[in-house]
Amino acid sequence: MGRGGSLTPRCSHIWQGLGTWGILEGLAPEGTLIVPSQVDTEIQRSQEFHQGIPLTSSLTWVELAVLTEEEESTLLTVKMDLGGSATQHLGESAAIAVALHRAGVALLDDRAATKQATRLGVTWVDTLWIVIEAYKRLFDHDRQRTIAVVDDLLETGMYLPVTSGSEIITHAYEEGWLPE
Amino acid sequence: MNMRELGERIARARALVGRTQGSLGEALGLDRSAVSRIERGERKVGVTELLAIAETLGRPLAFFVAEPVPAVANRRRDGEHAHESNVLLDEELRSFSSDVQGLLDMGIIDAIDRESLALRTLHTHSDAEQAAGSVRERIGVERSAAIPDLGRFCEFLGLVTFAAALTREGPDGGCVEVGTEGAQLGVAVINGQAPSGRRRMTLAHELGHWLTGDAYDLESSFETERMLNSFAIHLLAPRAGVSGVWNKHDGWSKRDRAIAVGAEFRLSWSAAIGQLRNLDLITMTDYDSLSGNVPRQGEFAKLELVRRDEPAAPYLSPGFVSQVLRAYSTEDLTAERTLELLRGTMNKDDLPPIESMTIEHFRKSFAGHGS
Repeated sequence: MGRGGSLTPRCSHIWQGLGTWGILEGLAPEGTLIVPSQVDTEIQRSQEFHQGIPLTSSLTWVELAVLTEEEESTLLTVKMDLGGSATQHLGESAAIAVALHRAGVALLDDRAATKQATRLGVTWVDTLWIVIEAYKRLFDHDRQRTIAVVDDLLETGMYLPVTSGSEIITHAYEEGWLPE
Repeated sequence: MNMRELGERIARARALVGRTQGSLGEALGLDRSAVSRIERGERKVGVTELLAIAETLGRPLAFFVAEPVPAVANRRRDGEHAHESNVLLDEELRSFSSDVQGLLDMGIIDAIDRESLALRTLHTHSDAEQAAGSVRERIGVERSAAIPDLGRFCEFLGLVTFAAALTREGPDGGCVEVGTEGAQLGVAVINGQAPSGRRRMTLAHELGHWLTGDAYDLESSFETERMLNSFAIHLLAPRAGVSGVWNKHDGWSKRDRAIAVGAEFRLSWSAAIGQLRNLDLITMTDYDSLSGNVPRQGEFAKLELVRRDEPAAPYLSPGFVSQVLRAYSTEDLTAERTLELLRGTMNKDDLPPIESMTIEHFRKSFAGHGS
């Protein structure tokens, strides 16, 4: 990951599913994850339904970002192309805007959002990338831990290219994502 | 986007739904003077406020933040019926052309090189007839046949159409050009609530504007308009076809034969008898006696003729719809944006299923971190 990562709402699957915040903390570039205020609002909203999600303000490695005027302008153009009500796709738009203007990496799982990021030249990664990176860099190649994380994500309803955690490592080798 | 331009757009959106500054302010938790200052470009509008304004006024965010497109051109019937629906037409043209431009930018729809299709300026009726014939030939429509799907026909020539609800007495339509040299599209909005024959004439007329390259010509002269009308009628009702239908019913009265021509080529009554006169199939006296007496629905039925309605509001060019839905299926467009782009021609339940995410998508994340 480059300098600064920017979290998006779909990635709150991570908040729900990865079980341990250490993954994001461990993979955050320079140890900091930037959470735009719009995303934070959505995370706070999801805390009502998922009690295990921590307050972002309590995490020292999370930097809450209030968008600059330039970032707001980018947010609006991305949001325009993603459409929807006042709150829909707002987090993805904010994450892309922040990643663009702060030379960061956006964490996105929404396909339409990744299209927007690509169009703007914003580097993005998805949750699966995070999991494989965690396997390599944080879990010390612990298969069982990785399988558990993937199963948790599948449990939240997230779409992944495998139907069970047990398939993930083989799949990653087949794709050439491992052993790098 | 500067504050002044944004303020003007907010004021226009508010006026379109007939709300006062006070009522908008109330919905947003602002006082009237704050709304007034926003509309004058004197007060910054925050992201949350702007999103709330868009939602309150029932306009997509694109209405407020999209880059402005070139000036609206060719608003037909402009001076004739100065009407608030002209404002509606302008807004629909702005909004639709900006959406088309956005889809071009995203690579979701394809542009064409207008120069490859361009017609030379039409100076005479003979030029207009010849140009109409060459355009029909280019698309492969038989020289005497009616054009069954005019929206699709225009789309083959790079003109994307939206038939909007602009009231029955509203303006006929207008068009603009978007894109860059060598990669453009024409964008037409026509009044989908005008009578059917009139809608087809308008669209054919706008096609003429697009193909002759004067889509930006705000000063379009009376003579130009006349030549484009001539192009339009020859495009819709070619000499060979009209004569064929006329002769086929030689045992019928002139009135019934004219009704048959109108039904076959889906023309308004005035356009049908006008073309019969142009082609010397009726005399001026015949024309005068027929012109005040528009046929009733029952007269078509009595002659076993079918009048087809096309394109009525809301209507969008089928290729445009297809490309938007393909982008939705692959999740390049969200459901919400897709419905905005489809302008009420579909609702959420009509949308096709989403294609399962392919491994290609996941690979992008790993290949250079998704960039």
